[in-house]
Amino acid sequence: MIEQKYADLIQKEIDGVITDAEGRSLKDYLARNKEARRLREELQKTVERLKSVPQLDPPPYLKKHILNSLGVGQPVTTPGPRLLDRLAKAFSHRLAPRYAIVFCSGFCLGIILLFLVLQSYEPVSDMSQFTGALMTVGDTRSWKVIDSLSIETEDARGVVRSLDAAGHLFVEVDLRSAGKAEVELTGGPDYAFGSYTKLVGDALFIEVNPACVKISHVDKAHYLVWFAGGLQKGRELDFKLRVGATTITESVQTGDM
Amino acid sequence: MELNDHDAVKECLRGNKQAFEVIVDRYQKPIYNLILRMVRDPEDAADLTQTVFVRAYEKLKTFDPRQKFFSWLYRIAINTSLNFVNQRKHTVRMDHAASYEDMTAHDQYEKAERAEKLGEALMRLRPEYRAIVILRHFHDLSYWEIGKILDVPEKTVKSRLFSARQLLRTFLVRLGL
Repeated sequence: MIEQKYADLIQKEIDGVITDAEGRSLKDYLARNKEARRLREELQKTVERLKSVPQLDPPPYLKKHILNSLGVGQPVTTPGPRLLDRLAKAFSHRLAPRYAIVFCSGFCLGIILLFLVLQSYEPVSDMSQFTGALMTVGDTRSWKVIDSLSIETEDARGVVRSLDAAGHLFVEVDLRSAGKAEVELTGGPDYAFGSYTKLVGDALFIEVNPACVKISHVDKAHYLVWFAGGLQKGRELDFKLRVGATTITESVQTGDM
Repeated sequence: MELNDHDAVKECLRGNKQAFEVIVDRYQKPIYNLILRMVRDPEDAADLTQTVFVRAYEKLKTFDPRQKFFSWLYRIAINTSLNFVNQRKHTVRMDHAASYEDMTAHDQYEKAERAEKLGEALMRLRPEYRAIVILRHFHDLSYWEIGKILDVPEKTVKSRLFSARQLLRTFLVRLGL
């Protein structure tokens, strides 16, 4: 048990406001009271610990923010570190801002992806022949090759293949040319153009008729053109390639589809 | 020659806003640290420090030149912090990492952990007690000065400080310090 008077003297001693007489009185008391000695020691330790805590520097932007909010000094136009600090803090401590930031990031990413997809989308001028099927082009090597036509000229090199993919006729045009080229696939009234997929390269113009596909200004292209409807055994597709002054006309067999 | 507090206040009242910069330079660190110990969140402490200086600037006309300027400013800071902590219940960890850059990793860890526990123990004190401990031990103010800032008699400061220290000691023991 510690007398309140001496407990107070211990506190005064810690604060350095004890008088000499009080100091002597406390010293006598401490000499005969173990509990008081322990309290004194623990309080001293507590105070020392408090004193050991360092003073922290305020954030560097603080002064500018204060002066700016008072209209003193130069206006602060770049709250960069502040914003970053806020974001870091929001991520580390608070759930709602964290979810909000993740949501916004996802939303922005989605918008960017949509923009990129729309950028690469080439509308087909004649949509009337589309059957509505959605096709994903996989590995065309697993498809049955009906006919293959090698193109080897001074200005162009490549291959044109007719392919059977589960009863669907595809024509694959894989072409490299020195200059701008024009490719034309004609099947006559028995064939109907379905759709096309660009695998590599670009073409500035694609003209689509029910039985004719024209790809113009090609210099590096790999196209997969799907023809559908009215296919008959042994019919052919005409393939025409123009590069500069050279024109090549060949037939591609479509087999017994 | 740098303006003293009272001259800086006079200059501000004469319309020289730039004089307030002297006050901000002089007191932004102690005020920030005072608030930081009270609220324990560096982000909130920065926001509240800004609020304190803005309030001080707006109330400069009410400052009594017979008073010490820092007591007046500390009073605004303490009141602002008390209002804030009374409205807000949750607390977050205080980041001390920046202050321990020169120590070894082990020392840094130990010191940061100790500071963390101290901060936690301080936050367990009633805000009125916490304010007294902070003013006494972090800002080295006398009972009389603390009484002026908190607008309580010196005797109350003493009794609250004694109670607060004993409570703090108990909390620290419980936290293993």
